[in-house]
Amino acid sequence: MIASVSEPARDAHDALHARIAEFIARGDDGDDGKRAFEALALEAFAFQFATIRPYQALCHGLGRTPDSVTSWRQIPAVPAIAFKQYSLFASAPEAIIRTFRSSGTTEPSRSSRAHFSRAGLALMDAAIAAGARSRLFPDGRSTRILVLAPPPEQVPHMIMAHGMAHMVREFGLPGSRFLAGPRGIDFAALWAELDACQWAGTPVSLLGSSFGFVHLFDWMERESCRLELPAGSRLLDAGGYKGKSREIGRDEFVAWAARLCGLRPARVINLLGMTELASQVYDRMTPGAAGVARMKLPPHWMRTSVVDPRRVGQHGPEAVGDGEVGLLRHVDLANLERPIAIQSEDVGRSVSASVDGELRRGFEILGRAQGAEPRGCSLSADDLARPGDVAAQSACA
Amino acid sequence: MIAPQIDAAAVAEAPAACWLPPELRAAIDALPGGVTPYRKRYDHDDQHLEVVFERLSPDALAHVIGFLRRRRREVLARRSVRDIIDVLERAAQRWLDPAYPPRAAAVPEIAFITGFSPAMVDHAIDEEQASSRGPHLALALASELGDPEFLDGFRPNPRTGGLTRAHGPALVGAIFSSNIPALPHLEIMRSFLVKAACLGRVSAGEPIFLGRYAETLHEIDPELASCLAIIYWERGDDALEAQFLRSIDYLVAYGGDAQIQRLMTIRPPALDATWHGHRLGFTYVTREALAAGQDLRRLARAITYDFAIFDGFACLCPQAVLVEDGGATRPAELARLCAEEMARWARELPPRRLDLAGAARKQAFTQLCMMSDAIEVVGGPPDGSYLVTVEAMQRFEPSGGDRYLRVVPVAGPAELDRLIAPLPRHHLQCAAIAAGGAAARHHELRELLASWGVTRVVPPGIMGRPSMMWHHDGVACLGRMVTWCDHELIVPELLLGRDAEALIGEAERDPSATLGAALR
Repeated sequence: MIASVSEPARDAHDALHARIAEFIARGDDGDDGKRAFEALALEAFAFQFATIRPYQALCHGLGRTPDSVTSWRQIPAVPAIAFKQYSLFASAPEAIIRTFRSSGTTEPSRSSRAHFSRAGLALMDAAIAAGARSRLFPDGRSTRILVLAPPPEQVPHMIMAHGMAHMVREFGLPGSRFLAGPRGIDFAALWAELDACQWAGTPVSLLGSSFGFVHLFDWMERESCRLELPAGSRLLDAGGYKGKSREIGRDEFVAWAARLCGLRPARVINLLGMTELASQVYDRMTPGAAGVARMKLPPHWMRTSVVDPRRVGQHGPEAVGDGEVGLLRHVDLANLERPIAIQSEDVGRSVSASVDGELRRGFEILGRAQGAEPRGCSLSADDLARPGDVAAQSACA
Repeated sequence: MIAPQIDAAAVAEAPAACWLPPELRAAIDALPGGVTPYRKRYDHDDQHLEVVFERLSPDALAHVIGFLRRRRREVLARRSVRDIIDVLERAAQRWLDPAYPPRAAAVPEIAFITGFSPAMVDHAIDEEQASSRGPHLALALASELGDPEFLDGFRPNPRTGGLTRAHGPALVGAIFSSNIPALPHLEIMRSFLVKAACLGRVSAGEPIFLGRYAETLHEIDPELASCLAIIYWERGDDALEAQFLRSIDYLVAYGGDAQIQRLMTIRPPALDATWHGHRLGFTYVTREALAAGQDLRRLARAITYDFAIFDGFACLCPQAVLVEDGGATRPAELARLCAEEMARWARELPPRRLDLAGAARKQAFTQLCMMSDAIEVVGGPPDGSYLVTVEAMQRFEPSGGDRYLRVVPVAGPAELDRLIAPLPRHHLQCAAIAAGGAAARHHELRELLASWGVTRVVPPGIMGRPSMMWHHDGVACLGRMVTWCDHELIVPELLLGRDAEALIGEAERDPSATLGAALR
């Protein structure tokens, strides 16, 4: 039985929203921060349980409700694909001002939809800025930001374009701009910008999707273009390849960026972002055996655990040990309007490394869980949905 | 080999997917480039198992085919049906013994490769061999041919007024699938029963059982086993496949719709075939079965067995339980009992092993169901071992297996008309009907279902264990393979009102006299 969404719960939203925004802005403050995260996560969970009906049904189904959940680890995570099927939004539908959609590579017609109110968008923007400030621009340096993606006006549903636009606003020198349009990346214009920055000594931040960079590097190879980007330049690539370009291993990608753009490995940073999450996770460089190692280190308002759905305890899938492979499960306080706990299909493993003298636990992404196709001689729904299928036949009958 | 429960030393030799009679093996090995062995590796987590496959050269395949045709003439054609049945019966007896070493070795290997739990593989072997017993084989022949001895020679046939003889094809080619472990011997049995040599293409998805079964036949009767060869070619090896199709006299093909369609297109037009493609089944529970006094626990136990066996990945498995509303027990209540019984089956016949992605998909699916207003999740444990829901159905949708049991409340047979009647005839297969003691309901339902193309109607609990006598997928599989020859001794009008058998006896003794009498 699903309780009706209560008004007091909605009122609590505003206060909670302010406290989370404050927590994000305050920065990581050790044990106090951990306690604060726990408290905010549990409050956010209780709020979302009360306001997102399909989520409440899920929690009842799993037998984990605010009455029984005592840690952020126990908060039921929504499968990311649920965003394709359900409206998972904590506020009234009238409050929606933006809806972002996943690219939906396999089923373009059924992409994930993430709804945002004005306040929700502001919270996401705060998370984007805080993340970029500490992980992409920790040196506080201003750069010209060149984005290998269409501007948000052209792709209002693409969350990555929104995030990069916010970074341009917050951190970009004059002249920062988007260099892709409906027909893809404008390589000639991009090259002109890069070349100009190179000669003027203006540091550049190149932002784009991972597959966009593969296309750029291919183009540079073809055109025999080489760059020595000025000191302070950096590259941020988001996401994986999603079948939109060939797959490039991380080491190869970094080496390529060094060879073609003159960027040091530590300046080539990968970003994990999802339409279903308001926050992003950056690569964090750590001293490793082979010079610099990298791991994804969630910001202090976010937790990522690696779980194995085959190992289930009383409180849901259990986190696997260090180095073991599992699925990434995120808890993101900036997702206050959408479920904060998201079960992704990304395969990864947790890694620990010393960061600023403290042992920190992050993770690395290994790929996507390739769904095991149903097998056997019984039919799948897809088989029946082919042309000349059941519906067509019944129409003839 | 590091699969669990297997002594590494005992399986230092990788199992072989292909099997040839020793004499043929020696001949093929002597052909330059005749056979190229290679290994396929099956991985699960950090364990793996290797199986030896082999590629035959076109010459080698031609040799195999020539050999099988010769052995058919020399052996099968001279054996009696009773004798052949006896050998197959002995093979079934060996495989029914859990301690039979080839079986004990095959179970963990099949489990490792297919992912089915060892308990499920063990159970599958029991069930399949139990229906492979000699008396069942004889009954199947009798059901489809009238008299099995028609295969041994001309026999009096009162219904034709003469003598009748049946011949199977010389060489049956069989293409196997892997979804039901340890089943493919069915086609070896059917071939041998009609005295056809059998050339089988093993599936890489379950390459273990066939070779071991062939070895059993060889142990029992090397002569008979010399009429059998198990080979393999990779998907896409069109030349070898075409040679196979050109060289056989009858084709039996298992596989998905795409595979069947492809084979239908490329086979020589004159090659007769039996197709076992995708099939659908379901369970129907009438309100009589839910009346007061009915043993609902037992009913739930039976229904859930059909969903648990082969983890729902067999054509024989039901895709949904349609339950009539308005009985003493509501459909949701039956669903709750089913959830309890699914939990029991999960313990007794554990579900298949899932990889990370499969487990993730299954978990997400269960959770999406929980989130839906339209679906009531009655049983969906966190370990994903089963899922029982109550939900309406707009059009019949397969469940996708993995022990997903949907209870669909229906008003009555009119909804069968809506859900089942529109399904393609060739996809329909099994229906389980629970109607209590209401004979009239049974009659009404089976007439409806048969008219739509359902080929097997059973009570719940035995969907996954068809009898040898079933007209498999609506086909008299043995009968279809044989060619009849009738020696007509008596003109038809003379048969009427006479003792046909006496007349035939008379005609046999003096054919010319009887025929002459008929002409007068």
